[in-house]
This record gives sequence, C-alpha cells and structure tokens, in this order.
Amino acid sequence: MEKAVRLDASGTGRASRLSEKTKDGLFLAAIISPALLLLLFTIGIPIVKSLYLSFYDVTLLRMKSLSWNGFANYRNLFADGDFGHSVAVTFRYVFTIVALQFVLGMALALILNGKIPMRRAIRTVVLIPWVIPTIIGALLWMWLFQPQYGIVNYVLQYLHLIDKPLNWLSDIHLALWAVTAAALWKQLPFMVTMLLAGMQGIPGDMYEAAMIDGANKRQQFWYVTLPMLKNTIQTVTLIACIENFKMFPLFWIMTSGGPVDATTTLSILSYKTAFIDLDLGKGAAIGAIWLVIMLLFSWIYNRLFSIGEGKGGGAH
Amino acid sequence: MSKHWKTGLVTLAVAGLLTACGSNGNNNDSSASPAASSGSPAADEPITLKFASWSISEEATKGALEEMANQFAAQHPNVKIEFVGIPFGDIKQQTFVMASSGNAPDIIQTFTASFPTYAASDIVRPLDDLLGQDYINDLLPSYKEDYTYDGKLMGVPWAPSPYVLYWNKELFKKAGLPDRAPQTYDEMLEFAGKISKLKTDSGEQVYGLGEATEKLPINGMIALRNIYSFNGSVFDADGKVNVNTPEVIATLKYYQDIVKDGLSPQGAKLKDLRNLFSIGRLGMYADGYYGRKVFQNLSGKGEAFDSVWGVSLIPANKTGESVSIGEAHGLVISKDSKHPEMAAEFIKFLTDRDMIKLYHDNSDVMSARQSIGVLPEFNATDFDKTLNDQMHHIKALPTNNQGLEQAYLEIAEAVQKVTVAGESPEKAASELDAKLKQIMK
Repeated sequence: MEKAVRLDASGTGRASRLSEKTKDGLFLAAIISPALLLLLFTIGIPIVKSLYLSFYDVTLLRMKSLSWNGFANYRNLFADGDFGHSVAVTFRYVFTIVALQFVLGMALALILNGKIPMRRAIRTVVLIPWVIPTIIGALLWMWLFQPQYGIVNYVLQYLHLIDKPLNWLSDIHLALWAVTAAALWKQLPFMVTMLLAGMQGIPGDMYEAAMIDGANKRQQFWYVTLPMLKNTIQTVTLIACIENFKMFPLFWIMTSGGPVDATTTLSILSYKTAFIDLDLGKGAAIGAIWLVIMLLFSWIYNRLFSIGEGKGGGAH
Repeated sequence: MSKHWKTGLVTLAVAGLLTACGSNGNNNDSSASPAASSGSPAADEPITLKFASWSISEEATKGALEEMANQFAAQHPNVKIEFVGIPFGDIKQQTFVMASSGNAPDIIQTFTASFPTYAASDIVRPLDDLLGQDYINDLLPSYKEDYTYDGKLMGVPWAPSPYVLYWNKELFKKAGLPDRAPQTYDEMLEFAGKISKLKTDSGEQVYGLGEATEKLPINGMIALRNIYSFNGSVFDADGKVNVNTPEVIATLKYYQDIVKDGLSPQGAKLKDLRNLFSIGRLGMYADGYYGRKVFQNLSGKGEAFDSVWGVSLIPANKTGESVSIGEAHGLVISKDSKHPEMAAEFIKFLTDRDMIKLYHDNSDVMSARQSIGVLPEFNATDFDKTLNDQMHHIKALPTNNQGLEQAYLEIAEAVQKVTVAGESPEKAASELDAKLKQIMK
C-alpha cells in the first residue's frame, strides 16, 4: 500500500480520480455493508419499531387499531410500582451473581493455573455446565430444588442441616438465591476459562522478577496477576453483567417471576407485559428504558475501570 | 476493547428484548395451500385447515387427534387438516403473534381461563351463525356461558371437565379412615389432618389435601371453586365486583391454614399435586378428567393403579351441596380464516358422538353436549358417572370480560400472598378487591 501511494505521488502511476483514502474507505464499506445491512434488518429496525410502539396504545388483542398515547406507557410503568420493583430485583441479582462468579471464578482459575494432577482433564470437566443448554439446566435445577422429592432437600436433611424441606422456589426469601445458584453453575465455567486464559498470557518473567524482589504468593497475586488481568476482568465481568441483565430462561422456567414477584426481573416483566398481558406498547416502553439503563450502566462501568489510566501509573 | 465497541455490545444484548417486543414475528412453520387462501371454496376445492393445538404435541392425545383428522379427511377428501403443535403454556401468545402478522391458524385450541382474552380480541369470530341454534342449545348451560362473550358464542367447549375430588384409598386405610370420600369440607379437613401425620416408608412427608397455589391464571380460576364453596363470588348482588367479603376472606384463610398446618404443599402447581398423588404422598386433591391417565403414567403402574384411588363429588361446604367449576378445552375460529364454514364443520365433527367417544375411550374426555353426555357409553363406569354428576353441580364462571384472565392471575396472587408471604387474608382480599375493580371495569 505504501509503495502504491509513493508511485501515485511521484506521478509515475496511473492517474486516479479517487484518492487512496477514499478508495480504502469504499473498499471497507463494501466489505462491511452486508453485515451492517443484516444488523440493520435484524436488530436496527426492530429497535426503532419498538421505540415507536412504546408511544402507542397497542395490544395484541387489537393489532389493527394503533393509537398514539404519548408518554402514557412510561407514566403507567412508573405509577404501578412493578417496574421499580423489577429494576431492584434485577440489580440485586446481577450484582450477586457477578460478584460470586468473579470470586469463585478467580479462585478456580488460580487452582487450574497451578500445577495440579489431571489439570487438563479437570479443565475440560469444568466446562460441562457451560455447554448444557440453559433450558435444560433450568429444568435440572428445578427438579433438584423440588421441595418434596428434590435431591437438595434430601441431602440437606440427611446431613441434618435442615429439619424440614425448604421451598426453594416458592419461598419469597429463597427463590432468588435458588435461581442465582443455578445461574452460577451455568456461567462459572465461562468466567474460569476467560480468567485462566488471561493468566496464561501473563509472561513468566513478571513472576520471576517479583520473586527476585521478594514477593510472596499473595503479593504476586495482588501486584502481578490482578493488574495484568485488568483488561480481561473488565471484559468478562461486563459480559457477565450483560448476560445476567437479560437472563430470561432460568427465571421463566424455574419461577416464572414468582413467588409474589420475588424473582420478577426486567426481562420477566417485559415478557409478561408484552406476551402474557399482550400489552406491546408497555412492553416496548420497558425495553426502551431497559436499553437506557444498560447504556448508562456500561458507560459508568467503563468510566470506573478507566480511573487511573493515562496518568502514568498502573492500577497498583 | 474500545468503549464504542462495548457500548455496541450492550446495545446488541438489549436488542434481543426489543426485537421480541417490536417484531410481530412469524412462528408458523408452514403456510396454507394456495387454494386455502382463495375465496369461498367450491365443494371439491382443496382446502387446508390449520389447527393450532397443544393436544397434538402431547403423547397421550396425539394419536386420537390424528385419527380424528384422518376420519374427517376421509369424509371430506378435499380437506386437509394441518396441525400446528404449540405447547400448552405458549399457545396463547404464539397464536396472537401469528394473528397479528396475518398468519392466524383457522382453528385454535384454548381453555377456559384463557378464553376471555380470545373472546375480547379481534382475532376470533362469533360462531352462532356457523354452528346453528340447535347445536348451541344442546350445550350444557354453564359451559355455553363460559364460552359466550357479549351475548355471542365465541368458542366451543370441546373437552369439558368438572373438577372432582380424587382420593387415595391406600392412604385412607393407612390413616384409619373410612373407605369413602369426605362429604363435607370439615370432614375433608379432618381426614386431611390424619393423613398428614403419615410418613412414607422412607420417612418422607405425606400431605392430606392438595391445593394448587402457584401464580397461574388456571389456579386463580380453580380458586373460584373454593370461593363458590364458601358461598362467595367475585360479584355482589348488584353485579359489581366485590371480593372484599367474609366469604372470600374465609376462602383465603382456608388456603392459608392448610399450607400453614402442613396439610397442603406450599407453592404447588397442579402437576406437582398429580405427581405427589401418583407416588402415594397426597391423600386428596381436585382435578379434571385427566386424572386417571395421568396417574397411570406417573405412578408407573399403569391400569393397576386404578384400584388405588377413588373419585367423588367435591364435598359440600357453606352452600350445603357440592359446588364445582367446569373447565373445558375449547375451540375458536380465527376471524381471518378463509374457510370458517369448513372450520365450523370440523368442530362439529370433533364434538359429535363418534369422535367424542373416540376421545373418551382414549382420555376419558366427556361431552358438553347434553344429548351426548346422557348416552350409555359416557356413563359406563363409576368414574364416568361421577364426572357427569359433577357436571350438573357446577357454577358458571364470571361473565367473560376482557380482564378476566388477568383477574384469575390476581386471584392466584392473592392465594400466594396468604400462603407464601404470610399476608393476612383480610389484607389480601382488600388488595385483590382494588385490583379486580380496576381490571374488570
């Protein structure tokens, strides 16, 4: 490319009506346009249509009659209290699951990064929950938590940890924890794999240098491993947050948002509103606010991770 | 990863929801034949009738439905019945989405709790002119009322069933109880208390009486059976919504007590009760005609399990006589159907003597047509007789209203509040009253 530019510039090349930069731009546009068009049709148009519907009184009961109702869908959302409750449930769930995933994932990754027997086999086994479809996992955990004949209660009673069966999925204080446990089982392998990959990318001489400086294992973790994993951590935790913000199948199959809305997250509320109550306008309004929440969350998250960057120092 | 890239990632993630809400979708896996989309057909013009059904997806009923379609096709060589199998829990939203995209099936299977939503929508059509007055007059009055909206018959009660009481003879014997079903609610609770003291051979808890308390519209509808038994109603004497009454409060207290006292499992779905009953861990519960086949399957003992249980009328309570509700798998015809006459012809065929007999032999289905219900083949066993007897002891559900399905859901939530969240029956009834007044305006 550089050679071609020089030739043209010296005037020895064929005269061109378009500059090289323009040609490059057109070439890139030609390559990327099929993907952009696909995204536009599969995601862009539905988003725009959804935003459009959020300002209409539209129900699947009468799709042939749309009527503009301004911000009424949004006003109703904030007026009935269910929306605020589901936002709170969603954030509680996301923070809990991501925190647990990160701590346990880091611990497991450190173990698997060490020299342990059958390391390769264990790394493969750890991946099993990840490859099981979420719906199958949800059904499996629903049966495990079944109060009358589920194995969780059986084991806990056998170990005398509880004296009577717990209603894991129908107790307002336990249901969210039960779904969180199922989600943790399903998603932990991804966190472990990503963190492990990040750890394996840390040059060995960093640890050697740390050891020469007298750092013990704990100090190596805090001052070498963790800072070097910063970008990986930022990426995987953000992905985990997004994944859980939109988590639907585990909640729908295990609790359907109950009992008494104790596990009604934004995804459950929007689905119920749009496809159970058949109120597409209100469902679309939930989706629109959800989009704003996610964008804000992502922006704040990235700002937090960028603190200290560009000031000549690392995170440590 | 750049910030822009991450922002894009977030946008893509949320787009899933927006896509779901924004697109009408097209879940239909096949399309009608060209002939089927033309105008009014000639007698020999090829017709494809699309029939959305959950029964075709279920092993227990699939064979019977296919046989019915084959027999209809034999009588009408130009007609092809094309089943669109949709699971029970998804059929309402899927058929509404199909209809909104101009792809509605000709015939849709529904059930009593969901029917009001169809009836109040613009996707189904009245059936009075298609079925004729003789056919309509033959329907049992309460079932006819349950499938009527705004004075018009909007659906056909195809596979009706009253809720009857199933009781486990072995558990009764083990608890030292008489070999008969309880006659009154008080007796039922007394029996349930004794059964609940039992344990299985492996030490597991046995429940005396099961009531479904999961938050589902069907469970709210089932709760009406208890509200009626306590001489309550959703409406007051002036026909206005009022559930903040001593009768409804007594019903909620009944639910709260049986869960608190360990007579009934907490947060149970109907299928949980069926499971528990089939494995000998539940003494009594109310269900439809489906019981026998379900128990045979779930118990793993087949027909041998038939001798373990008995069936009886719902015990009498405050009204002094047995009161139940009728549930029915129903059929509606899409407003956009190009062949409503043929669709109605097929519905008549499905509900005639031969086809209901076929369905009855396969799955114990009864008939909502009075002229068929009295026939000997539908009264051959004690089970049949009890079902038929109970069908004459049912109280019609509330008059269909656009918000009725949501109202059922709210009733189920009130039951959940008192059984799971420990809310007082008085408070739950008061909150329910406010919600129903808003929903059923």
